[in-house]
Amino acid sequence: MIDRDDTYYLNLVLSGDTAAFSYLVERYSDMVYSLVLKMLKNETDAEDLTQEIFISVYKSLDKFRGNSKFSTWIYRITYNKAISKLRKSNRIVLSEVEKAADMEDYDEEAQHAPASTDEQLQQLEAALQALPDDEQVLIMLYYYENESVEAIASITKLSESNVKVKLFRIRKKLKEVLERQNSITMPVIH
Amino acid sequence: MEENIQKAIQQQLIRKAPAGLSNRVMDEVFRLATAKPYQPIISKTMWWIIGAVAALFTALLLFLPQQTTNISGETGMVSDFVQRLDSLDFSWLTVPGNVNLLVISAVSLAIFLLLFFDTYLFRKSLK
Repeated sequence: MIDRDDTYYLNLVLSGDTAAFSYLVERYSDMVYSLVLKMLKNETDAEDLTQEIFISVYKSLDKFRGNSKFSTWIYRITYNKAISKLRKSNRIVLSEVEKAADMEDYDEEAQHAPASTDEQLQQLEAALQALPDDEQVLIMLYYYENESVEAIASITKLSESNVKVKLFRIRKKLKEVLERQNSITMPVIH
Repeated sequence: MEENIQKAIQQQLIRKAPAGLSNRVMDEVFRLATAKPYQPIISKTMWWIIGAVAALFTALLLFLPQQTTNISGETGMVSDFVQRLDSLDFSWLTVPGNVNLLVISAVSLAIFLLLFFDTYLFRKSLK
């Protein structure tokens, strides 16, 4: 199958080809589900909300103006829906204190990090897991989905400078882990 | 380097969406696509027209040159408005004069209920 961009499928759906929406669902379902799961921490709730998000996206497709990437738009809806779900259930969104403690524990364990490639990756994965939830969401959007700082700011409603600071902190934490291994430098955030 | 981070994110943070999720979403999407949205009896445009006519009528009553003399002692916009209403010819309204008042009330109530449910169903269909 030819890998076309989102706009192609978006236009198909808007012109009446409802089935084309399945390509967008397939493309974004893992990421949307992962973000929601990360925030809600409950698989059943995350599954229900992911379905609700895609229905909501379908209903509002005609409102997408193309001012941002389609992915940014869909993640903004995802983030907003997850936040309002958390608010409704009065659950705390972020547990930075708890995770910060984990990070400290991790730092101690990482003092004698092994240097093989697989183990490097394992160290990195452990470092990612030890990040607070909000930072995990940011890093997923920035490094995995290649969303810009501006886009992440619009998704999370944080200021751009706040996003930059948070990304800088994440980068620093991960850099510390990696420097213990091979002194590799991390990419600069623009 | 970025590749390593992406790999680590893929391993640790990205979860596969549950099997069947896409199908369930698409079933609902197809249901929505084929469902006929409820159309209100009176369209938005028609409501604007009704509103504009009512506003125009009120404005005419208020600002047309006065054709009757003031009743002594009564001043202000309200009394002017009442006097202008008095000066209008409403004789055409006496055509259904023989119709029972109860029938008129029932018809009015029916129209009101119709418009109420029309709006209610329309709003419900939007959700």
